[in-house]
Amino acid sequence: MPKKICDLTTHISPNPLSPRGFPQATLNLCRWQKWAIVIFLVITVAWAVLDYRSELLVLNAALTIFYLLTTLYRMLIIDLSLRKPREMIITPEEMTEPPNGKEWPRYMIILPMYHEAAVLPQLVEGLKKLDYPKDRLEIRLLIEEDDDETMPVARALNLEPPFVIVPIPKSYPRTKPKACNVGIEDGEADLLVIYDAEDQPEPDQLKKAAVAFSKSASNVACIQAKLGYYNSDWNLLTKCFTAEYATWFGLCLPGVDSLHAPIPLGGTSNHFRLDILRQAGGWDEYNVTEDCDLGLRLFENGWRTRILDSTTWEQACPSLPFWVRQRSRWVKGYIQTYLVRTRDFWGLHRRLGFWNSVQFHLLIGGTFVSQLINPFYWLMTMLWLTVRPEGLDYFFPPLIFAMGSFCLFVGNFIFAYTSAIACVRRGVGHLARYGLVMPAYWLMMSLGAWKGFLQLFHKPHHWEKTKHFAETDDGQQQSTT
Amino acid sequence: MLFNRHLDTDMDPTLNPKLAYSSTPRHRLCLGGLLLLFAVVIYRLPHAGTEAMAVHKAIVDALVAGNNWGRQALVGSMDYPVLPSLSLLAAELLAKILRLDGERLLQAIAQTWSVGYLFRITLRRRGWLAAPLAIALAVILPQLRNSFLLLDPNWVTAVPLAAAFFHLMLWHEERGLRDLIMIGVHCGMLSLCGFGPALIGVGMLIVVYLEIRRINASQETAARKSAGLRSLLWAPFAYGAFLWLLWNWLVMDNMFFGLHDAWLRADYVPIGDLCKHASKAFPLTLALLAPLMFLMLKSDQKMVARCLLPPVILIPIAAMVAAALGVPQTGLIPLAAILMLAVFILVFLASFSAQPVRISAIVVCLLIAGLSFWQSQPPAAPAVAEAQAPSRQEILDFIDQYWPESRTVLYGVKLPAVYPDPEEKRFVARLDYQEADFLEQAQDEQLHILVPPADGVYYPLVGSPLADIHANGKPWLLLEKQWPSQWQLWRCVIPAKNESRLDFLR
Repeated sequence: MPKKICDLTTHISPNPLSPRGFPQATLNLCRWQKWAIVIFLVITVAWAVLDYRSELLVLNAALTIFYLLTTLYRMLIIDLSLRKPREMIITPEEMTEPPNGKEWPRYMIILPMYHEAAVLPQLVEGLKKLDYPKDRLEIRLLIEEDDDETMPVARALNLEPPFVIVPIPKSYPRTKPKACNVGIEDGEADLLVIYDAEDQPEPDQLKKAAVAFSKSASNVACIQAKLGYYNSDWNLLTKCFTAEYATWFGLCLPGVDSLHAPIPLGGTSNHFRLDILRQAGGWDEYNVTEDCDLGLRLFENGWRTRILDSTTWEQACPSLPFWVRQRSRWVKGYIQTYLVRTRDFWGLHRRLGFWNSVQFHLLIGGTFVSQLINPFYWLMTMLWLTVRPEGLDYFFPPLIFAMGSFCLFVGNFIFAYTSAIACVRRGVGHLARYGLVMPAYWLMMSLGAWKGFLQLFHKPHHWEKTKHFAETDDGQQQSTT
Repeated sequence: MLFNRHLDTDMDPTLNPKLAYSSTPRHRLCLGGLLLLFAVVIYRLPHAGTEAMAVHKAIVDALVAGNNWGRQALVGSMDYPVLPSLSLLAAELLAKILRLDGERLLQAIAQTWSVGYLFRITLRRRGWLAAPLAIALAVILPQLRNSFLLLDPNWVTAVPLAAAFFHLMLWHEERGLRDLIMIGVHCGMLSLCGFGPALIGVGMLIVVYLEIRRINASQETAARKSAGLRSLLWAPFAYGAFLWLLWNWLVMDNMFFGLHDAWLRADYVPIGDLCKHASKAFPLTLALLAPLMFLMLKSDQKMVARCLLPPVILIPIAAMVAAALGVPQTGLIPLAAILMLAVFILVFLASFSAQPVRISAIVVCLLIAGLSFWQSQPPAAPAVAEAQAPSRQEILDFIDQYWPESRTVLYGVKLPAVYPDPEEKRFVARLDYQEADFLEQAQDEQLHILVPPADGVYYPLVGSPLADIHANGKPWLLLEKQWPSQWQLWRCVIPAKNESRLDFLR
């Protein structure tokens, strides 16, 4: 049993809201949040009984203003990212020598796996191609102890260093971040990166990240590589998914980076300074988007994240039911993260500052709120376009109507158009036209969002595992998990 | 890997100092201050009102009052396009907060904004010297000066036009993705600015489209890199056009309603009119084309010259067609041409260092300026063609003698602007003539119809129901009064509900 360097699994506090000393998603709501929701519901019901029309008018006005702000914010970050690329670009010349002139930093790669036997051999082959000195590298396969499918395959491969199999003891919660925490409790390394089982990072990504860290300010704790999909052409869903990812990683995150705002990390390809990650307490094992939470926690503690110009190719989920499950987990995690981070409401705003707080609410809160309320507005728009019901005008006085029209006619186009821009920018320009049909995709996003939102009440820590598919010889896709 | 460069990766302005934009915060502050001063000056100038401003103002007032005609006129006319009306509405709201005049505020913002783009173009080419030269040209050239003095919301069109032109120039130099997107977006905005600007927008898009094709054909890898660019380029324009059609469908129940009048007029335009307008635009176009060709062949600014070519050809064509159709442009298109001329002259001067060439360039400038003076016209700005129209009071006095409760129905876009009544107390505005609706309303109240003369100003001469009424009347209309200027006031003579025919006649 290797010696633990830090303890990232033991509960040190009896407080269920922060069992490991920092706010965690063990419980969804703290006391004041519960009270706030109760008071809000009471006021809502009472107001509805007294005068539901004025209540709906005020609600509509608030949501329209929220939509407008979100649209303007999105326009700002997209324009910023187009104006001046913020990604850290490392040239091949810079990677010829170790950054400090002596030797490359020790790198640890962790790969949490569960029921991934089918892709494991392929994964190992892919990782062997990584261009990094093998004596400075450790690749940890984090496999659940009771995973009778993956463990035998891993053992049968007779892996040699830098590969190491790390069995994860069976304990609750059974989530990926828990496995990651166990995986980094021991071992010596300077830098760490997390990949998923189906990931195909560009071979020079580790060197690029090492150089990028050496060039960064000392407060940069994390470098996020971009994520892209290698199977974008499989079907309409994967095409739209690719357009969405291209927008997020190609335009939104660089734009957020330009504003020096907190960056919600993507699920994989996060490169960390290991000591800082351990200091920060690792990932929140109760949060189902632990990456997003970690990005914000690091920022709150004064650490910064940068975006690296290197892509890890992943697999876009090609099956709608599985895609909805994956999306539901993301939205559930975003809500968890939002609730956890706002527990100390004023403290958060004090630590982030006014402008970063606004961005936090727009980026994290805005993402899930808009996905949840979009269906109602689409329904209302459809009614307005077709049936034109009497009395709808009351809820749209001139100013609200003007803002709402702007969001409907301009905002929606901007969101779709930026997807097309992102496709061109990411080198998948042939998908640009699919970026323009994104509104249909947003409908499915809302479906996933509602599933996640409802699941938050009865299965808050349930991990909807992403299924991976392999392409067969006849071009069909098959589930591998 | 593709980043901001999508075609020529070696043309990165951040790496190539020759292409880098040398604007510093100090420069920007100076430019901002200068433009603010410029805006204040524009705001204070003695402007002359225009018909376009009166109509757009009437539309805005109606919108604010929640009048249905306002919504109809906003989208249902190609002559008075959406973007100027909406911009005027925004300016009016802002002016109310700032306690300023909305029309002048819009004029100042639009002109300053577009001139700002031209300043940026000149600054990119030849430092600070070019900027005062542009101002001097603006003051000297009569069309430019006159156009600046016409109060017209169509000035808003100059902003996307100047912006599209600015980014077109940058794109030719640097092939930046953002510039291409900006060209697409601004040309998309032009699609909501009426016929002429839309035509210029399409022209600019075609230029970029052809350029992308040319690059694709010349470079092996370019085709892959430029995939999707055409979608990006055309999507905003297509969306703008789609929106306009959608709004027409929503408000007018006819997707092509806004095209109807223009179509009727286009059917009737005599070739002679077209030639007359063409002959007006011809000398200035020639004067521009000749040195432009010289620039394209000889100067080191071939790219800029190539950018200038399509607008130089398209603007007179758009002006000619728009004038022949009777679409109000209020000097905007000649203005745009002259603004480009200003840039063009500056580029010309910047291109050649040899003294004889510079002198000949100045001679060409003087020649163009001379032509410009020769063609100059005083700022013709009759506020709505109401000189011949009977006054509001005259109509009301006449009606009140016998029918004090009657309201007068006005059809079209221009006519309600002559007799604005957003609250519809005495005048009821409708964009389109719907006989069934009129008769239904006439059962509830006494109505009159005011029909302007059939001279093509207020409605097309052929195919318009108003032209038919003017010539033949209707069985249920009684001509009550005809003014010497051929304006007609008709009274509806069907009995109202619950009123016997006998009572009605009595």
